[in-house]
Amino acid sequence: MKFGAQPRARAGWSEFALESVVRIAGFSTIGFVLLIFLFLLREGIPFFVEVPLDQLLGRYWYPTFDRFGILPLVLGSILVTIASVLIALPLGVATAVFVREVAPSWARDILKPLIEVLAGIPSVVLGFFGMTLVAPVIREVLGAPTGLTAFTGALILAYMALPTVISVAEDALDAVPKSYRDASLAMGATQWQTIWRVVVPAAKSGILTAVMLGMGRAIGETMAVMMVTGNAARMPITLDSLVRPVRTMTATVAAEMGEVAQGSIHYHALFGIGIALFVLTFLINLAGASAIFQKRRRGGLR
Amino acid sequence: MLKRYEDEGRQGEDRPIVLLSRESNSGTYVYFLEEVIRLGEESELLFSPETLLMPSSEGISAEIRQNPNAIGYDGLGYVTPDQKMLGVAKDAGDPYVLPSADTVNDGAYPISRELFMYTAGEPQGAVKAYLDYILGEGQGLIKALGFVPLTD
Repeated sequence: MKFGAQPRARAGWSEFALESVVRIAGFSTIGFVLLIFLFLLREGIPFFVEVPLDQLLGRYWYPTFDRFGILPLVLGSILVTIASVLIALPLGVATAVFVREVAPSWARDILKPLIEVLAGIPSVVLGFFGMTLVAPVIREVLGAPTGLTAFTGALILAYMALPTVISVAEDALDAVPKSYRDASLAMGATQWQTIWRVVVPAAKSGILTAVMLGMGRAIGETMAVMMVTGNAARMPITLDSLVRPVRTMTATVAAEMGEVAQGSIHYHALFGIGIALFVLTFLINLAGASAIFQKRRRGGLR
Repeated sequence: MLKRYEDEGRQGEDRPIVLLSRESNSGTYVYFLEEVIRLGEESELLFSPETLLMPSSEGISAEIRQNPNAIGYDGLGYVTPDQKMLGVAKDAGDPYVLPSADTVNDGAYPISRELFMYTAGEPQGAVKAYLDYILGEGQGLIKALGFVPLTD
């Protein structure tokens, strides 16, 4: 090795340069997030100033006719997101349990890469699939007036959130010490009892994280949702709302941003929706992060 | 507002009506609102909040094709043979007229509008060549695509 022969000053300089590049790369991420947030605030705050609060919380979203009630959009997003999580959670946890606890190793070797492939399907493809194949089935099976419903959106979103839920839940199950399983089995519990009463509860906080991450994925998804939910800005407060069209915040921004007059109230309104979405996603991520934090504090166990 | 097909008091199945429209920033949305929903008069009427706002003309066509409950409006060029067009009468008692290039051009079909092109001053150079193309050779293309060419 010839390190010793190299002039000290040159080594120091290249080290300094490399360190700076790495540091700039690291800090720029934070910088970009901050800049985006500031831009969002600058463009969105006027909406909350210009539109009176009672109108803001109104039931009607007719942005080209000065009706800016964002309530149907917020409730629409929440409805689709919660429904998708309710679908993705049992499916995801069951898949994770199967892959980690039950499946023979050859099945695991096939399943895990397949789940990765699932995550790689572009959302527009899923949206097209939902629009042309799932929607007609939903209409005929559920007897809804149209197949473009909140439930169709929830199904597609659940499908998209599944890879995240499965892999995070699987990691959580993986972190449960083998001694737990051994102890349970030694006491005469069956494999099912061990999984259901010992392993899954021990991985609870990790599974919660999986749900939160899946939720974050679902609420921010745009393209597929816009294609399959029908985009009617109705209030989803009746019992049948799940099988009726719904308009989400993301779809509204995506559909209307292209033609809006820059600087108009409508323009600010779309950024205002962006702020609301940002806050919602932030709260969800915060809840997810606190679950991770809790898990660490307790040494990976509940 | 009619909510089911049976409400029309005529023969046919009793089914819910699913309204389809383009997004609120589309030119067709505004035209349909002003000329059909508001009948060309000053009014506060709007599309029902139940109306499905489709992101594209193709979105409307796709839903019309597969859902017998759906009714919507679209540009004439987007209509394919597997979609049913409805005749429209200007006033009660008038004959119902189906849309086509001829009925639009002779004014028999009431729901139509012109598209205009604006230039700053008398068109010159490339702009003039482009407009000449549109007014000449381009008219054949417009007809071939199923839209309505200029009369003259």
